[in-house]
Amino acid sequence: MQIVVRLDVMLAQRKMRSRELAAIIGITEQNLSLLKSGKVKGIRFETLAKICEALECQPGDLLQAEPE
Amino acid sequence: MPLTERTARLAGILGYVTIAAMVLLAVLSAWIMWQPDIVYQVLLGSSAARTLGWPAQAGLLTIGATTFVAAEWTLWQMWRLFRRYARHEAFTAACAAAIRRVGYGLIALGCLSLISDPTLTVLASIGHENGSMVVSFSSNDVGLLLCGGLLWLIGQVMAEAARQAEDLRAII
Repeated sequence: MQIVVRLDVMLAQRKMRSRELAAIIGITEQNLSLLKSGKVKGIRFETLAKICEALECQPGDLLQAEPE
Repeated sequence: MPLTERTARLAGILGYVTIAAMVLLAVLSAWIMWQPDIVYQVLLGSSAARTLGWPAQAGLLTIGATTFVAAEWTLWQMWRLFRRYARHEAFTAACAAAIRRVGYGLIALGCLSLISDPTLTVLASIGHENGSMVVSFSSNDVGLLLCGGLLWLIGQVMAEAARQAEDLRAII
């Protein structure tokens, strides 16, 4: 199983730009881009909570387990 | 995490000191090669040792050259480490490897010193009619070995810390 980040889908649904989200949650656009592309080893609960708050969603809406 | 400006500056100065030490050691070694009588006089406390045979001379030369290479290599590794620190690079795998290599160098120098001091005394005493031979170990040699072991261990711990820092950087 692998964890897929569905941040781009949520951003599209909320009609929010990456730059805007990055500014709200206080991380760089570069890091947000890495997160969107799944090129990170992990995500802090703190960051996840901020994203959920900004996008008004649940962690399950952002992360999905898929078979490799 | 970058080093403070003061620490980086100090590392830069120590880097220059290390280069100076390397040059000084090379000049001193060349001078000893040029005038080997001085070594014999220091070892034996007299000029009588000038009658050393070629096996003894070859032995002295081999030990001296090996110690010189080990010392220069250790100093070179120290310079590489200081250069990295001067560039504000501290908690990386490369720095940890450099610390470990300095540790290896000091251990090698300690071992060489443990072996070479008694061997040099024996070689320099060959052919002497009177007097006694004293073979001794210096606490400095043990100190070098301990320092080398300590640095090697610190290098190992730093490598682990660098790996964990790398992991943390990949967590957003």
